[in-house]
Amino acid sequence: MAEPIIMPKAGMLMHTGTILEWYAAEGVPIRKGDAIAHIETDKATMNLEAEYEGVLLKIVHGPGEIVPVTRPIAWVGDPGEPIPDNHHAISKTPVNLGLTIPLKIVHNEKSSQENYPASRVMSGNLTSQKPADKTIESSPPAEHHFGIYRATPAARRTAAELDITLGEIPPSGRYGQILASDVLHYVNQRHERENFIPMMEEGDSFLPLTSIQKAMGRHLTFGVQTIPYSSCSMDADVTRLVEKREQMIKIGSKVTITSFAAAALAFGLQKNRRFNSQYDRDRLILKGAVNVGIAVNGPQGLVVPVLQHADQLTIEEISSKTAELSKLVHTENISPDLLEGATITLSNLGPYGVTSFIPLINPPQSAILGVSAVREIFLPDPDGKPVLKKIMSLTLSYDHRVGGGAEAALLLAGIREALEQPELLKPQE
Amino acid sequence: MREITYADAIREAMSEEMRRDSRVIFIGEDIGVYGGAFGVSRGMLEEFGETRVRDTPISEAVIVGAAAGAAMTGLRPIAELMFSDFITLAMDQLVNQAAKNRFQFGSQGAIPLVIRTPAGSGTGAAAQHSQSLEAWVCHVPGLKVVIPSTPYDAKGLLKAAVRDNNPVLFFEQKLLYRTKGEVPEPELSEDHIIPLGKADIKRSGHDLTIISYGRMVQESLKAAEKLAGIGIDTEVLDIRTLVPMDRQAVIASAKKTGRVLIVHEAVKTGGFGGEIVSTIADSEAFFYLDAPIKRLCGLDVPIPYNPGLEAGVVPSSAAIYTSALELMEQRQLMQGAT
Repeated sequence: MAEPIIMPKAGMLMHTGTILEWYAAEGVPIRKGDAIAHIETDKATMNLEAEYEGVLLKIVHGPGEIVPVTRPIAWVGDPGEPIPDNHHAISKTPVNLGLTIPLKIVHNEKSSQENYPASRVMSGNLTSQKPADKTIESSPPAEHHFGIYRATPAARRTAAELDITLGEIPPSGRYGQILASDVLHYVNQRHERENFIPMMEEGDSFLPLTSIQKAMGRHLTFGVQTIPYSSCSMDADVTRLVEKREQMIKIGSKVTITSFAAAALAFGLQKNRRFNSQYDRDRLILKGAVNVGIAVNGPQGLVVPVLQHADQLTIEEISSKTAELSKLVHTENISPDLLEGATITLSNLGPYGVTSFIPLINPPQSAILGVSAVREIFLPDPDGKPVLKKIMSLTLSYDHRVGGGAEAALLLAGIREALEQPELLKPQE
Repeated sequence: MREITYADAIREAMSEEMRRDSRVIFIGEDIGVYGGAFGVSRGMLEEFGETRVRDTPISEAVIVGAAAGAAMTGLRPIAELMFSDFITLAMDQLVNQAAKNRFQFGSQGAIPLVIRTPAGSGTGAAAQHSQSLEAWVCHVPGLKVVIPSTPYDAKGLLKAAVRDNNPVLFFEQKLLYRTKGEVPEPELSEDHIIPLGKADIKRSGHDLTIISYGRMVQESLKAAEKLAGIGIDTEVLDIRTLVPMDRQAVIASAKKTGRVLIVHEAVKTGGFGGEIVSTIADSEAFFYLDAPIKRLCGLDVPIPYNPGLEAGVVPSSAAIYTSALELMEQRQLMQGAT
């Protein structure tokens, strides 16, 4: 029988994906592993690969459509095979309803009647999945569960009073449900947006934002509005680090300043674990692993891939992994899985000649380290004579709920320590 | 205001009503010479004499039947059942006679009767002397049901019950008998009448509502105090009169906070909490709910004799605190991240 190709759930925070392009056409045979479509999430774009052979019977959602994760976007099978009526109906549903919040995806695997288990989808390598069991025929009609938003009665009433569609509102409930406060929060934001009337004159034009840029905007707005943040700075004497790097490069290494900074950040976090955490109202979730995000300026906007277990990597490993992640960002092929799990991000504006800046925290992370350009400065030695030093300015923006200035300073001092004494970093094997 | 115990408040209410109205009589087991199993009626025999304070044989059917009959003749009896568990033995007199009489005789033959009876666990009196059976009588039209949580309410509600022309079940809380609270001076007592059917906001709050009655109101107030310590502003609504229920107060509070926890000592299955839940769900308050309505009740088991187990099968302030937190923590870990 015909098998569905579904919108993959490629990360815990992925609720919907946008179809950018279909490489395959209806009626055309496809082979396992073929890239059949290009899709976009909030954080990245990626190719969707076919998982089985057959003919692409029906494309349910075309380019530009936003589809909730785990919903069929196309059907594959033998030529002329029928497609289940109920899921077929999805294609007739207006696109704006496609912003449906996925129901029961992460929390309840038994709900395969409505959705294929998330674990299967997530364990795959971004390819379509077979349904967990033959439940397609017994699924409720698409209209029945499509367009249903999980929202509390209070949220529904508030939304109705304010004449808002629930589908527009990002949920914050534990089960993905929209709360009354989410509606109010959304309205406040919309109010601000609508009060801004663009003045267009001759010669002006619009530059549409990519979905990554829009997501970043929402995300950072949320961060700035909800995180009481502060920042502190230190200068690190990187004279020896620069020498060490030059030596390494002489023998063929491609190690970057960013890699040293990432290693130093992991070193500091590993020593002072308070900021290796996530704020959760009345407690911190202290993370076992030290995962560091690296801000990368990709073609579609800022993307933050994550160096997993950065504290256990040598400087060369960090360097090659960072290069790998950066390449994935630049080729727009990074999986959203690789963008999650960091507690802190490293942002290096040194290559742009920036001498100091205050970075914005990427929620739900607890802090972000801004690293600036290495510059030469005369500093007094113990006898007061000027010595030429290589100096780099470090600025840590941190969530003050996670820790205070003293704790942030401790972390920053740990990072500086590793930058000034690069031999403290995990040696090459 | 002076402080007296819950038991004193009940004695004062009875004595004052008996002084005020010679038709009020008092009937039950060991209420006279012995002064009541919990000492509630100590001294009343001496003041009112054997005609008005009557010790009876060990027969709950007789106590309730005789009291209902006396009420039909124009007296206004207060009957005491030593433990509310024994209401089983009086059920026919209560349900088929007292509750029906006025209805079946075209509003003639009112039954101005109060049945006072101690309920609840916590005294080590085991499964047959520790139950909370109020839901049974709530199911019978024609009966009113009152469960006070403080000495103040106990006195004011009992005086109102004695003046009511219908049979009123007045459940007293054994563990509250010795608790003290403010009650107006005796000279001000004539004004201290709390109308049946009025709930009371024992603590005002905005984040969630705990609806309860009887001893669990006190436990809820302790929990609310603790919740305030972590910034959760809890409203505690004491339902006080289960029948007739103050639906408007329940609905108003649910609308105000959007989160409701119902607490009672009686077992959950078939308990009165379900009635409160459906009152909310069946009203405009539904549209104000921002979380599912929760019930925290006694476990569906008989009350054990073992003191540790006995304490474990009914809600405590700690359990109420935890349930309230669960109700508040409906948000996911990465709140608002999109």
